[in-house]
Amino acid sequence: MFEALMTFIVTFLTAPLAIKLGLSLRILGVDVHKSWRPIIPKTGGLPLILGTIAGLLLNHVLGGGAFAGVIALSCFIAAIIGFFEDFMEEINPRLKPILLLLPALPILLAGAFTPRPVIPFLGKTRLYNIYPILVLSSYPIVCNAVNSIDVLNGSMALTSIPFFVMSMIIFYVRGDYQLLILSAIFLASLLAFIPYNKYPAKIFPGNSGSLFIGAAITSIAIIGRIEIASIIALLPQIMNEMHIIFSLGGIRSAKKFRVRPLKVEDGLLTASEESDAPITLLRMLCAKARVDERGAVYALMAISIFTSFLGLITDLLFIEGAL
Amino acid sequence: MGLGKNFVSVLVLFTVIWATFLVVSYLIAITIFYTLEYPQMMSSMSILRVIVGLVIAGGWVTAWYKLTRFWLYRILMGKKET
Repeated sequence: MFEALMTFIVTFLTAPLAIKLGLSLRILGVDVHKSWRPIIPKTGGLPLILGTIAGLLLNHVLGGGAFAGVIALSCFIAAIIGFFEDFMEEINPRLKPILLLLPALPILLAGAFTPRPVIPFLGKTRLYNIYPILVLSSYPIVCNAVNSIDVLNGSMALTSIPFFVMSMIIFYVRGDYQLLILSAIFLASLLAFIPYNKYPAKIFPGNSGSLFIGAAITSIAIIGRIEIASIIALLPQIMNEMHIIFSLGGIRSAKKFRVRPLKVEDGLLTASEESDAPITLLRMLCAKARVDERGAVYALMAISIFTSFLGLITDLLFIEGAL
Repeated sequence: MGLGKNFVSVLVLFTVIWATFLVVSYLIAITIFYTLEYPQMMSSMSILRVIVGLVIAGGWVTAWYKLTRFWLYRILMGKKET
């Protein structure tokens, strides 16, 4: 577990540098859910990536398996797409899902997948033709879903942590310590990032950070053969993204919302009551209520803990015995 | 409604979605996935299985969206119109 410790230290120490870099290069975003609308650097992807790379390199030096390099490459490709959006401009929302197919290539080319997922009530299947297509399509879905929940201070990190804890428990039960360490590396980077990203945020993860974590989750789910548990654990993120797409009537930029899903009144969040406002998880939590931002983030995290628990019991009851 | 009640209500919604997902994943596996992996069956039967699977998958996603709309507007906001 030296890898996770190394990741934590590097992420924690590089985050202040990323804040300075963001301020000096004017890579900034507006914190729209605060009445005073502070301007925050959105360079948080850098410490997440640097910390994780440090941990993965140490894992390689310590004789870890080949998966570390494949996962690192996949995540890095997703992060580059995010960096372009953070540093340059928003990518066309129809082009972005196509670009997000690219992080799947390292997994597919390295053959780092087993096309025999276990389906509840059915058992082990043989999906030699379909599984690569499912791998390819999973990256745009999960990366965008993780990105869609990055709406409040700390929400992306705190809703992703339960997935990594769930995966670590499953890999521990299975005795797969290499994958357990890889999950621990990503968990450590998020834990070290939280002090800077929690309310009131000093830095945002940006699209680079959320797409990086989305690709990490997808890669671990595929390589670790925890597909069904991962889908269940990610139901909040997937539901959020799916309902935004449905509400907008297709894949469009979230900036095109005519009516925002939330309003800020006296520093508290409240849901829009207009029927054409997009349906989001946060809007559901704030319906007919005035919610403090911290409370809303903790509620999002608690929902992710709940769905990760459902994913865990599904895996233990239906999947592990059939692998 | 306060945050606590909304939170519990959303957990109930996710429990319903989880339970239906388990059933739907099974149904998709025995219709679409099975047919595409084992194409030696009669072609008319294969097409029928894929159509049934697609209807189930599409129906589930649509039902999920409608249920969430109902949950938001009727249960959480107490509106009559959804």
